[in-house]
Amino acid sequence: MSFRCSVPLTPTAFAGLLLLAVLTVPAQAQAPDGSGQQRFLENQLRPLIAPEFQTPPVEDRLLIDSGAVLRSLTAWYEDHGTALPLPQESRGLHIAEIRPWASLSYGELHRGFVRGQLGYLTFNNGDQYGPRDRDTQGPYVDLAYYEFDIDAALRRADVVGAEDLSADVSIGRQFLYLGRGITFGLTTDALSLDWAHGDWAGLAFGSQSVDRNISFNGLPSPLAYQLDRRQFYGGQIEYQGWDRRELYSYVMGQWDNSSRKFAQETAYDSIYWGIGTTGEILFGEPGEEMGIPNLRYHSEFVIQRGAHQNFSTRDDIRAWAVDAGMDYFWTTPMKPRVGVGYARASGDKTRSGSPLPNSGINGFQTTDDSFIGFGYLNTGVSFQPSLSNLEFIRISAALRPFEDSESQSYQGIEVGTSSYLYWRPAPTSGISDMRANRNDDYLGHEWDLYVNWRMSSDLFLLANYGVFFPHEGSFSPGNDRSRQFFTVNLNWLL
Amino acid sequence: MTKRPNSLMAITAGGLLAVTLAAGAQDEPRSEPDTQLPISVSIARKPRATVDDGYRLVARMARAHGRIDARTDVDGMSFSNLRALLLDEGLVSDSWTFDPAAGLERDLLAYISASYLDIKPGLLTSIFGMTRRYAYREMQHRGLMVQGQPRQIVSGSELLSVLTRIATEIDRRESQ
Repeated sequence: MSFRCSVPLTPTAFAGLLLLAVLTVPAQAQAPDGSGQQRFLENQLRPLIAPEFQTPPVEDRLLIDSGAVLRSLTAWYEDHGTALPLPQESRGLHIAEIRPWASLSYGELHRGFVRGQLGYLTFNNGDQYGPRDRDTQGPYVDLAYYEFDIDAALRRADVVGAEDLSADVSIGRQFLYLGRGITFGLTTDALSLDWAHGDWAGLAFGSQSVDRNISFNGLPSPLAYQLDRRQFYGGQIEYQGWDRRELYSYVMGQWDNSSRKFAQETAYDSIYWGIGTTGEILFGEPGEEMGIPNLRYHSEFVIQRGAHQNFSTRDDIRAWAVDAGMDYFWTTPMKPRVGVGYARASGDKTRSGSPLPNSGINGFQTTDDSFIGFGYLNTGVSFQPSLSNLEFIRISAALRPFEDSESQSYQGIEVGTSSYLYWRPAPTSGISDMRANRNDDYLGHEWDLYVNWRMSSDLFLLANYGVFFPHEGSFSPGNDRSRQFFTVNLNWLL
Repeated sequence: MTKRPNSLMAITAGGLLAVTLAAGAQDEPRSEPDTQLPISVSIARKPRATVDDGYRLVARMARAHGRIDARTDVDGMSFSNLRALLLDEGLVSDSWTFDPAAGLERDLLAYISASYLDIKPGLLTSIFGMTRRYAYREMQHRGLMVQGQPRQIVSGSELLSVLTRIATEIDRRESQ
């Protein structure tokens, strides 16, 4: 639904209204608002509760399995800064959540999965953003899709060549991603085709994002742009013919169909072309390899084009992003590993306000050079800026200190740490954190710690701590104090 | 427990051999009736293992491990006697009244396997006792069974594969 006004407004007046809307929205941690921390926690949990269909039944009979994930999440974080509309020294909150699920299969052809989500959020006394210190979250349909096994159907029909094919078509609410998930990594209502044949594999899909109409004080949350109503069409092709490396390329288009206020005036339509490779740095035939064993790498480069409606004008988007890194692991006891990563997403020097779509203002009649993706990349648990007008280096290390323990429970403990250094490519423009209100390129550094503990087959604990040290050249006095973020996340699989 | 690594190796090798033979047998016409083949080979050929198959192979393994008397005629005894034997060992539940010809479901095999290895699955099991559902989840968690639907009927080769992993796990424990 677009906003209609009976009084003619100039683009400048529109811009002022929009900036006002943006600036009155705090960096809240309420879920699911698309904020960095919320997405970090969701992405950390997702693989641990992913649907499992690895060995489809051969017999034609209906099989049903069901269960639930109970989650208790406690978070404490410092939320100060004079640029924030509702600053506070710190806030504490607790989320109790249940995600009931059911999976169904009939023979090897038909599969289905549905998972709901209902949470209850409680802020510590006085820590809430508005008048309510407790609220329900949901109920939402988290995932719900049907999957048809094409290759099994072809084999049943005795189609020649079906033995070499693996293909599934899925319809419904599902999590899909392209490449490393920077450009696209969302749960959407989708029709998708996933296939592999010989040395090639691929994915094609069309989808619409789940509009949860996230708002604050009656205005749309700019952090929830991934959840606005948008249409996505994409495809990826992968070459898997090499022994230790994989090459992929994708294209994805996104059309803004949002129902928020100012939707038409700020419509953001974009197209992405990506290319990437992952694998090991080993060359040659098996047994005669040259290179460095146990060293894995990844790299991806994305070009973004499209158009950004800027009230009365329509500006072209010309942006790009890169993500690369290496991880070395040892096969010795405790399985230590170290890694280094680098990412850069272009920014626009003429942009005012947030670089997120529909919330900042691009300089009139200039190209919009801010990269904005619809995926996720971990950029540090405390600072957690969006990958837009951002450049960072990450150094990480992790090990399993009790891997040799007699106790199966202690074997499941992993501890790790990461350090980040941040810059912004366009120093005169903002980043997703409105506290970076000075024009320096260096933003600061962060140090993170985590403990992942798989206590048993049905219980796991995720604890994260991060502290961000802003650089005074980019953060004005009052916004330049260090910020801590701490969560303990206990999950019980029923 | 008596150490019998040689017999365990034989079980492991036999199981793997049976799976290999079964895989090869898919392309070649069968030259021998199942009654003339070792039991592991005939079971590996089955697309659908039965409760009787599962009970009997587990009893064989328990005999090889010295958990039951070596003179016990596992192959010749009736199903009810076999069930009583496994019940004494704490490997099956008293409440189970399965038809011996019924398909062996994954979570049932998981319960037997977890009991055999004396694994105490997660938090719920410590509260409510061993159940088929959580035994299967534990076996997946430990990499001893594949992921999938718990009520799926296992094939003969999958049954042998799980028992081979159990034998390997017992070997690993005894070597420590």
